[in-house]
Amino acid sequence: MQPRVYAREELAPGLAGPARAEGFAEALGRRAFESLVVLVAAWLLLVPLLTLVLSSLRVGSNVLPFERSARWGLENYWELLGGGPGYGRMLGNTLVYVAGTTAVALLVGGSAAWLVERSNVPGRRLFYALLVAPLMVPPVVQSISWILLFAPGTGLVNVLFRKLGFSGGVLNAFSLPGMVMAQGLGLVPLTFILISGALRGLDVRLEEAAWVSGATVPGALRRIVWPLLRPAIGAAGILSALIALESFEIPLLLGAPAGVRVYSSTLYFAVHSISALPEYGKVAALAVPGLALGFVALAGLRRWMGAGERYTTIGGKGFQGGGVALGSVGQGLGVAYLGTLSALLAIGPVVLLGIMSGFPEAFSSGFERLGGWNPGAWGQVLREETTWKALANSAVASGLGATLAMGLGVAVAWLDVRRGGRVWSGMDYLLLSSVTLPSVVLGLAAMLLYLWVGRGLYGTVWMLGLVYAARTGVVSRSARAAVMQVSRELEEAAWVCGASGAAVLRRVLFPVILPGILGGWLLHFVAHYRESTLALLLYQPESVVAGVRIWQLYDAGRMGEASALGLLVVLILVAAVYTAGRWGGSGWMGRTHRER
Amino acid sequence: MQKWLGVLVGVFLVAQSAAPQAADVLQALRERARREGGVVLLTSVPQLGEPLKVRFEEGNPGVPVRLVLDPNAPGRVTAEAIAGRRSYDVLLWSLPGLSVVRGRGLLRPFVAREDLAPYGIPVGVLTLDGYGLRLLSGVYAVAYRPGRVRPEELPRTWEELLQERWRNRLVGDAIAVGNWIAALGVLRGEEWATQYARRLRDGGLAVVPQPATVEQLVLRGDRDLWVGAFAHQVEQRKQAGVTLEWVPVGPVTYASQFAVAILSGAPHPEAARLFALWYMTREGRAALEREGFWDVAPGSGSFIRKRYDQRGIRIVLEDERRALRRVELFERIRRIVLGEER
Repeated sequence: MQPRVYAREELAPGLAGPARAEGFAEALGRRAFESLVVLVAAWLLLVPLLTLVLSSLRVGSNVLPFERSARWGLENYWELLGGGPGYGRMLGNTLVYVAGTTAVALLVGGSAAWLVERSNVPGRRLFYALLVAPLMVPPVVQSISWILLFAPGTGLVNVLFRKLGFSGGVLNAFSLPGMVMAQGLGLVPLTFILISGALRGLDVRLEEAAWVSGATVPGALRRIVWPLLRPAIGAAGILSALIALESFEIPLLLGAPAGVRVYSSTLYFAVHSISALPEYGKVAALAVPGLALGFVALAGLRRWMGAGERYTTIGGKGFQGGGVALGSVGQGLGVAYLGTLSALLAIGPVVLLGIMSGFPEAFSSGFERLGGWNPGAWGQVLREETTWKALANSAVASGLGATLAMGLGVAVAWLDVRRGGRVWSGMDYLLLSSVTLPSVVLGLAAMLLYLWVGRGLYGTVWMLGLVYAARTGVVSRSARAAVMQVSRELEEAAWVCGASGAAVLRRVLFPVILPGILGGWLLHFVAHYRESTLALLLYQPESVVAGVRIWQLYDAGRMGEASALGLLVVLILVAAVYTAGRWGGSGWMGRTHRER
Repeated sequence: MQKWLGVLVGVFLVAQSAAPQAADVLQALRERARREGGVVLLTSVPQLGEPLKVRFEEGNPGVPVRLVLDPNAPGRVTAEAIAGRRSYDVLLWSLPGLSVVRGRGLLRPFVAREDLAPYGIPVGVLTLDGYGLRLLSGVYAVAYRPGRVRPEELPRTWEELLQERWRNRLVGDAIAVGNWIAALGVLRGEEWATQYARRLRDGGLAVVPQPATVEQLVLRGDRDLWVGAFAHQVEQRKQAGVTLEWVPVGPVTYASQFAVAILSGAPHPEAARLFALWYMTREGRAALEREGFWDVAPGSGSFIRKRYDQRGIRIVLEDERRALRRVELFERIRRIVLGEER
């Protein structure tokens, strides 16, 4: 007999709809709340999206899209369509790159999440922390460490491979497969967090019921675990794909030397000119198809997932975590797998930062010699007033951004899952679609918006926070996953006991989803604490942030100082994540059920 | 003879009396700049912005430089100006870049009588029809890591870089490579430049986004020659302890110009003047040289210039006409080396 997951409506049809009448004051409050959500979403997201589309239709040489001398036209799109062999090859590369990256991120992140959350592999808490840690390392450092390991001629792994008597190398960092592996593994922390969160919320009794009914472990995985994880895996996959499409560090550092052009590196080169204004119109025309692709992908995901309540796993009738007991061989293999991943993604880049910041000779000699310890770079960075200003500004801007983005994400997810309807479904699309907005376009839109509408905010750290908040893609998935796993019956029980809507939110919903949303908040905070692309477009001397300062030092050739500041950022983020984990107290990070 | 002696003595006395006067005027300007609280410098070139900030602050205590580095500086300054906002005092950029901003009426002209003469600064530093001051020249060379390439192997002419022995051994950053080939195109024609760019690309020239990445690829031996590098840029890296060297390549090469300009409506006008003018003074020039920014103008006598002269390589200094021609060629060349155009 095959175990079956029942939809809640099938078991208790009467409980599916709103269970009680609403008073006038409460209805008014609800309307005000919904209007606020719509307004905030429109301000943060619709304006940049509109700017993107309108900019793509503005044509003119050496003019900004909103200038009077620009005219309306489709030339930017015609140029894109008639771009010749260069664009065709670029699109083909992009397709392979995004698909490959997503597959690697899901396979590696998903398997690691399963080992940490659902098996008895030793050291799961440590591995959890190590697999989340790469989020705190600036992407440029991860790329450099990848080059050090897999450069065709001098990469450590390839050199070792040849010393063992083999010819060629394990992997060429400067190639499309090298890019796929680097980006895919770079996205593992994201897929790992999203999938492990869902695995943690999975009631082990569902699997036990399957085993009792005669299902094998793979059978239970396929018929019970997989269907319940579909929202999380789908979200992780789509986010990985969209982030791979938009992020440009790996395409620039690994793809450009090999002449492999993808969508994001094409965007990057389009906005970097020596004399003219950036070609925002062309950039926007390139970005609009990416955005459309994002919408289509999201529509597909929602269709694939179907109704939200099918995935409810945290109900009001008790909950039990658990997992699979592996034998000693399985445990050994699991430790080896997680250890290799941790070394590659977390330990390697941090060690590299340490070497670059304290051993200048290592860097200046191309890592042939380590040389002696020299604290000069650290002294310089710690002495500079700009360092402390940048670190403080980053905390304010990314904290504000994460809070606003998560607040909006939870509100929209809750309204969509509980109320449904096209408005909230559309809002959910809007929130996710922000992932596809190229930073340069979002930055331009923000520049225009705050120059004309919110002038008092222009160039301030608060403006940066508001712009960061527009990046709602990842947090919206976190929020949605958290809200979807909470049964409506919890809220209904509170209503029956006489709680108001606000009290239900504050005392029932919020505490239950806190671990999930804290994870999403931290993801957003961490990603933006070290962000540089948006900030570079928008910062002023008083609002310089850590990512900008690292970029300035790196580009000025002050590699030691750039690395020292990068390591300082990593340390701050580790402390922040650890503190948040302690404060959250619900084991969202580094605590598996059996360790709690 | 007596007449000439009299003239020389006269010149000496004028110079003696003018020198302290110029110093006094500069000091007075410094005081006014201090009262304004500092200067805001905007540039797209971090390799220039950072060291210039440091040296200026050393030479002008009490006048801090707030530096804004933005790869899209023109978009930023234009958008802000259209919205009626003036945040920056000084723009530091290449000649063609400044030319675009000047075309929009966003630069304040220098008046030789008021801005230069009192400080003893020669009129020859003016460029862009008086809207900019020449700061430094970057002369194109080829950089390499000693030990990785034998001295006798090094290229002597630009054409040698097309030889089969350099296949898959060259690297440069996207903007520098585009500029370098476009600059050679100014000297040798567009057809030559486009063919040259195609042949380099087909020969496996690697194009990366940033000089720092180029440097690492060369240092680690993944690539052997850094093309599109400026001689002074390599000298700066050597000063920072990096194991690199450069070689002059000819028979003719090109020196791109970087200049400073004051933005119209600058919120700190006196501090802006001080920043721009100080680098034109002897003290400022010496500070530039300490930072590795050696002049390559004829007669400058700098050691970079001497190395070119010793090899009989002619350096063509950029003027505004050549700069605009270079920009015209740049986009096309860049598309070719990036593989966007055949």
